[in-house]
Amino acid sequence: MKDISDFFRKLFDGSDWPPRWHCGKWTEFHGWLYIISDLLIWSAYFAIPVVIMKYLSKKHNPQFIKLYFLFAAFILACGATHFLDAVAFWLPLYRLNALVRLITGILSWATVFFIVRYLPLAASLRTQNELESEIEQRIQAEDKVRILNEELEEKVSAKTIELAGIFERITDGFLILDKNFVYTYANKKIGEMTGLPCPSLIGKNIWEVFPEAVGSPTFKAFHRAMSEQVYYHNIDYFQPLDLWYENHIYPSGDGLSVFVRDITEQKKAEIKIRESEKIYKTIASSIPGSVICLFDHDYRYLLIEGDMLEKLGYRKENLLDRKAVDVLPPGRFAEVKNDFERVFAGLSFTTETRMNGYDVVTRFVPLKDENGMVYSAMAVVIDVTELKSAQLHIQELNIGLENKVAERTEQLAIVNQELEAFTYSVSHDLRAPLRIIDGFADILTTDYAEKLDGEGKRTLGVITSNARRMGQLIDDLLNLSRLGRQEIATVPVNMSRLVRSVIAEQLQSFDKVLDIPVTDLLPASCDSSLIHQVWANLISNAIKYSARRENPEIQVGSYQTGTEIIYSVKDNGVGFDMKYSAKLFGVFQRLHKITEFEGTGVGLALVQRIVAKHGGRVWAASEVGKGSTFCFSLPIKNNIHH
Amino acid sequence: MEKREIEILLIEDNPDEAELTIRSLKKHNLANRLMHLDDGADALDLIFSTGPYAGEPLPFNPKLILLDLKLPKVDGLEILRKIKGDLRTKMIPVVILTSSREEKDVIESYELGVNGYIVKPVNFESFAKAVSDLGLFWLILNQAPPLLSRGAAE
Repeated sequence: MKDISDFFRKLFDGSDWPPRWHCGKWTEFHGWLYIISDLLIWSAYFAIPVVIMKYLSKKHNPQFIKLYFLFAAFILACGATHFLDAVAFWLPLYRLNALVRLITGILSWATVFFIVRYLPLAASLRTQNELESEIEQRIQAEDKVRILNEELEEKVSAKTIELAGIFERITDGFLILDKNFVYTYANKKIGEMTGLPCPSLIGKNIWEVFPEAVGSPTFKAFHRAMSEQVYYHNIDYFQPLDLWYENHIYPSGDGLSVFVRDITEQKKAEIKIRESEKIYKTIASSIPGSVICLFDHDYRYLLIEGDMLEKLGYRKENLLDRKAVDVLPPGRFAEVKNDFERVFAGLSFTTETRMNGYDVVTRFVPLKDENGMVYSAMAVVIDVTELKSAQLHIQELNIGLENKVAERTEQLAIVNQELEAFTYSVSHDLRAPLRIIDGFADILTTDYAEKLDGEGKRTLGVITSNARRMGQLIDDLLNLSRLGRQEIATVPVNMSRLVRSVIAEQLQSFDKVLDIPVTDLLPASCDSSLIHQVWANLISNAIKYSARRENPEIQVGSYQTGTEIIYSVKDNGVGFDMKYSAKLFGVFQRLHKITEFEGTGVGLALVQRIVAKHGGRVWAASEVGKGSTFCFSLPIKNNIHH
Repeated sequence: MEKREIEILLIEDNPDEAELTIRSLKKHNLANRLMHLDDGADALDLIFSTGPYAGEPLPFNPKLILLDLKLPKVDGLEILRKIKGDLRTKMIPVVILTSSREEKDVIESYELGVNGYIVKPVNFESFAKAVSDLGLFWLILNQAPPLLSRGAAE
């Protein structure tokens, strides 16, 4: 132990040995050769680690770093022994020298150990040539790969273009999101649906583009599909765009592919139908005694509402969403099958049936879309039991009324017959005595004239004139009563011609010169002989009442309104006071004294009856001393009718 | 007056009417061979030689029968029907002389084959003229049917 402690204590002590120069016979040359050689080895051995370090600092090879350090240390240690050998010519530090040699030895063996260990690896290390050829091969392979890649890319881009084309063409929206919900693709339809052009979406996070959708069912479905990597389907409404849409969400590796269908129209139609269903329901439930049903093409009850339903023996829950053929009694279905066919053919109609003791009217109405296709049918059932019984009651009343009318008519017919018999009597029996009075008065006047004085003759004259007047009255009355029983026979009448002939007749017995101009009168359909009578009465009146004028003037005219033709006779005669106009057309009503103007008071009554029988009116306007205008109208409908 | 001598047979129930008619005819000397009957049944007896006139010659051939419509027992239209419905008498000129201007009477008369229908005017003057005119026409101007001429010749 003392040797070892002395050794380390005297490690740097060279006093125990003479310098090498003095040990043996060293020639100068030999000595310096030795020294210089050692120093050369030492310097070279110290340079090598520096180069290695430099190499290591540039080249990073973790696999052999230990070996490099070990080798560097071993070289340094070797160098140190050579340095100490050279130094020993002057300073014999053999202890240090021995220690350094020990270290060198250890390092050398350690190096040997590691070299042996790494030998297989080092053997596998390729030579430069090998490396070069390998590199060559690699470059060639890389070229091939590159070409293949290019081809592949071309194919991919072609496919992509094709796919993009497909995606652009499809009517659904299509989008691809990466794992961060960032758009990597969106087709044109998406742009149309969102109003945002697709290029502006790419690279953006969908929830940043549509923050309103965060938390929505779609948001949840996307996240689930992404995290669970499974297919999801959902329907959602996006309020800012007023958009109803349907998603088919497919996981695609590190993202999602989503088909989006715009179902806004469909959904709104559905909502509309639901709303209209609501309306139908409200209507049905608010109309007492009714049922409203909606049917689809399979005659399935889509809706059924109304308080009559149970009264008719049905229950809503038994009918709703079921086909009529399955729920209606076979007999009833057979009844309505034809109705269903008709309503789905687009017809609206009403049927009447008796059900469960109720009389019901069913109105079938087809519901058509904007293209006129029947998409549903509505049947409105209304209880008309009360109406029906009321109708029956009315019918009974009517029958009673008809019977009464018939009874009355019969009574009237009897009265009429009596009246006829009476007028016949008047005609025959009253006229005869008058003629006899007149006849015998005449005999007196002619055969016994010389036996009568003046007063006697005047008295006879009074008898005669009154007899004649009474005869005229009877004739007029008979005319009037005959008119009541007479049917009018309307024919087209040339009124101008008729009036001209009337005027000619009336002027025959008129002694003054009178020209009554007849402008073209409107033709009419009427009873020619009766209207002849009307004109005769009016014109003879006009002549009669204007005859005393110096220049009697009579005008006839006609004009047309929407519904009537109006004829007028105007004179400049004595006229009458309009306050008596109401009496004008009454029987035996006269506005002038018999001594002033002859007449029975029947003429205008006759005019009034004839015109009324034609459906027309008569009226007059007058001013005392200035003249009168008498008018009558004939309805145009008569004329259309004929 | 014998039946065969009768030129005018007047059937009229009202004697005053008859008187006025006869007077009017007389004025023109047309009533010399006139017979007046005031009953329809009598008239038929005379015309068809029945009842009180049974055995009288037939055919009866006056130049004119003046017939009122309203008659007791058998009315004027019935008499007309009988006359015009019998081959032996249908050619006798019959003129209705009446106060009635009822259309149905006029129509029925013509349907039965009447030869004239005169409505007596109320005015006597006109009446007298009408009666005398018709007497003149039928007795003097009108050519009687052959049968009647033969009868008259007998």
